[in-house]
Amino acid sequence: MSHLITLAAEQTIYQAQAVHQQLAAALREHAQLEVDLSQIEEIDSAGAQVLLWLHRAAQQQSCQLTLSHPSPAVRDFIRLLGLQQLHSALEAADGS
Amino acid sequence: MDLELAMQSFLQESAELLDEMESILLDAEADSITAEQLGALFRSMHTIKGSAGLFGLDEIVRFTHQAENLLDQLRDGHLQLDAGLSGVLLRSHDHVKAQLAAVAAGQVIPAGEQDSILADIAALLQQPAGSPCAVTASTSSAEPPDDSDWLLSLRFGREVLRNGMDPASFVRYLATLGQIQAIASCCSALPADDSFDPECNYLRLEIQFRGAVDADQLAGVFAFASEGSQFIISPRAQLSSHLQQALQAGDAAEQQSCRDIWQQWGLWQPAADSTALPAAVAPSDHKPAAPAADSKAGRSSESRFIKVEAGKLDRLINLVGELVIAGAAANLLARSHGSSPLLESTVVMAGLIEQIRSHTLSMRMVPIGETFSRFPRVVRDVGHELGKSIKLEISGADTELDKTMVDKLADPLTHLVRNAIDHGIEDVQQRRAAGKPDQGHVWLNAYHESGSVVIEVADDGGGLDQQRILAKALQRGIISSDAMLSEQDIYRLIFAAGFSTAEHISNLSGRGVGLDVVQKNIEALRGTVEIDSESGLGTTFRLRLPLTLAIIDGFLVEVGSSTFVIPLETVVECMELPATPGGAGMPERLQLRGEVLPLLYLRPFLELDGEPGRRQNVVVIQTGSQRVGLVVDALQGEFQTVIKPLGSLFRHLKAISGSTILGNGAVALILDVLALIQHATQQEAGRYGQEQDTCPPAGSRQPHNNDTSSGK
Amino acid sequence: MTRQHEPEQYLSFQSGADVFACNILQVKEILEYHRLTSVPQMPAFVHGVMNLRGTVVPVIDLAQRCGRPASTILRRSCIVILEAGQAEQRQYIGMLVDAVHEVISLTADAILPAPAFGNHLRPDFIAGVSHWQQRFILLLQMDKVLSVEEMASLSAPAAMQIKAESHCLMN
Repeated sequence: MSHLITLAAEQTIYQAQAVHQQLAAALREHAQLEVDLSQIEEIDSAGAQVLLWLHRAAQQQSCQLTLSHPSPAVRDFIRLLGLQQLHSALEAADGS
Repeated sequence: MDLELAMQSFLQESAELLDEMESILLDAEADSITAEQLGALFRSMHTIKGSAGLFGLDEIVRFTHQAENLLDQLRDGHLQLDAGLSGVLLRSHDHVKAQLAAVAAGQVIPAGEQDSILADIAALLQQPAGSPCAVTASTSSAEPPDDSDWLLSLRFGREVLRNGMDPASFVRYLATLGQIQAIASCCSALPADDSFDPECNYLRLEIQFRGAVDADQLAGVFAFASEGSQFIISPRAQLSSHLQQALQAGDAAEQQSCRDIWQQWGLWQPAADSTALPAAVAPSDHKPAAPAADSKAGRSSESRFIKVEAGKLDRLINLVGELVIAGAAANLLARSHGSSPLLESTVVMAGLIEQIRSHTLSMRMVPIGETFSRFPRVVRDVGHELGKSIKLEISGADTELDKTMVDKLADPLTHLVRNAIDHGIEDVQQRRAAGKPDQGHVWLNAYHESGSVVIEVADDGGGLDQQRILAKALQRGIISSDAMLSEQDIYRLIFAAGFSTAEHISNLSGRGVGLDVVQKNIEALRGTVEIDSESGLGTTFRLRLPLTLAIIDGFLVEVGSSTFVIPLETVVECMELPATPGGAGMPERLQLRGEVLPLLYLRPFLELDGEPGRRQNVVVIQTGSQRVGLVVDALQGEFQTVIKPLGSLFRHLKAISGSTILGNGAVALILDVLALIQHATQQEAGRYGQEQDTCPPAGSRQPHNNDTSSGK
Repeated sequence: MTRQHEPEQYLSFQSGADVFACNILQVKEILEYHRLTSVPQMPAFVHGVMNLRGTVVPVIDLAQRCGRPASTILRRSCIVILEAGQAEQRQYIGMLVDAVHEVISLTADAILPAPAFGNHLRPDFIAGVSHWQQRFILLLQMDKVLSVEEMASLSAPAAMQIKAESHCLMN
């Protein structure tokens, strides 16, 4: 049973620390994790880095991570900075 | 008001850019031009164009745009800086200068020779094929000249996020300047374990960009990124060096992920040797790393200087002067209280204040080179005009003097240099006949000498013709036929108003300004002009200027109840005035180690009250080769202080050059050593003349007889 | 015109036997007399220069400037600092007086034009006359009294007739 976390509207440097801790805890406790990105209205580099970290940490800890339903803000940001890793993670989620 | 200020700074900045452009163009005629210089040339026109646009100066924008196009082609190697192109650029420079001058004066921007320059530019732009560098020109010259391709490798520092900056903001801004053709993040540095700090930045960006920008503009985009960031920005044409540089940073994982990105973009092809150059290297890519390094060096040299309004500096210097006085007062107080810890702390403070002061004052000092740098152009132009080939040699350009002085020297120096070329240097036939090389030499030299700045303008021309000067002066009624003149006096005649020794009036001397103006300008700076001339070998004009700076190392002397300051640099030695053999009277000169030292008694000279004490002292002062002994009551020793101008009420004072405030708050006057020495030597020469009865008193219209030069 | 009846303030001071006054707006400050540095080769009315918080300020002896004998420095001697000169070259000038009296208010109609004679003073120095405590006050035209231009020209070598020989070198 996948644990679902829905990220809040703002994912910026102001939330990064807290979100990171929340996600780190979830990673430790769950073997399957789904993170819903649909509510994100604003994201910056810090927010994106948390997602990147989550992606890599999940791989390392053999956690099955799904990043789902990226909002337009997330898609725009990925395009802006050319965040290929996130892009492919999302595509993988779309494909499954 | 603000707009006015902005306009002022635009005009000033433009003037500086134009000066830089000119000096590069003149420099580059002889040597090959560097990429940095090309960049600077382009930037000058580009920046002026941009700023002129802000002020709605469409005429200037239109013209500079064309000049910029030309420089762009030059920078890209499609054109070569030959004499023709250099000429067009210099004319463009002059035209823009004239345009700006009109703007500054609030006049209508003159058309001048705009159309002919524009036609020349157009002609040059249309035929770049002849240049040998145009190997890759065919494709890129078809594109609009403004757009260029760039590679950016951006390693933002770890702290950028915490400092409130987001790499994304830079990218968004970059996107407004052109088109981001490809972008990829490399996040190999981002740790997957607990060491991840969500407020640290781990992103590195690789970007392909196209836009009408130059390297400086691009660098400017990222100027605000904090320390620890590392940006490599190169034109697309310098792909290989860019990739090499970009790979130098980061660990193996980062390098690999960058290679992956470049490979995806087709910029890099994996080879057996991982350090092999990419296949796409252009053959013209012969300057590895140069542009990036250049733009960095350029930026850092820009930020080494801060422009400060002169008035602010003056106020600061005044305040520091006050601080010195207040510090001295505190020290006196501590002394009177006899508290040694307090005394110690005031001494420490005094040392610091001293350092503050010397640093503050040095801010006013600028190298004379700023003024000298205009002369290659002057020499080139005047030489062209007169058909003379002239080589200018500059030395001592780093000699420092007060900023206000530097500004006021430009005109007189220009005049002397023009004069040297026009009247000093002979034409080629004469030079050949005299066995001299065809090319004439003009020297500009500056150095410090006993408290003065000396600036020499020398030529290797025919020298001054004394007989011709005398004849001319007689003809003009400047002297009477029975005048007895020393060599120096004869030379000085050329400074008389309305004097010209040239047989023909050339275009240059037809400006209605004579050497008398030079003389006036230099005197206004309390300086003197000396002339050395050797027939057939050349002439040297030697300007000797006081270091009328804000500071003075002074030597305090007392006459009666007054304290005077003598600039320490001019003081040679001090001694007690020996008792006269006869007992009474005031000897007019002193035998000092076999030399005659004329004496000047300050008390009668300055009409000071009181009777001289039994013991009097002599301060030997010197400027140039002239020495004079000043007779004063007492010596008080050295003192360093800030010069305060005396104001226009005292502008006619001859023996006083300024004032200063002593530690006790009283004002002391600074003696004008040049004027005193002049007075004393003239007085001495007069006496000498009377005694010898060979030198009758000077006639009313003739320069004072000055015998010192023959006594040398 | 009501403005004519609005009084203006003047600072009155003593110099020799005369009471003078000048508009208070021109006065920057009043200082007790302290020793000045005299400047050689200047006309007698230039009493010297003083240090006004780091600025060197010339001090004019009002009595001598008005053609009277030099002021004697007494206990009540003061230096009145005024602002003089044209807009761009405004500068502080000190004026040595024997005593400063007080600030008085004068309406425009209390100020009379100077009588044509009997003032023993250059007419252009006088802005008007008035009365104060039964005494006659001369209102000074400070722009003229402290005209830097004029005072400087009076100290020019020709005017001072100082050793002309020392100045003819470059002529």
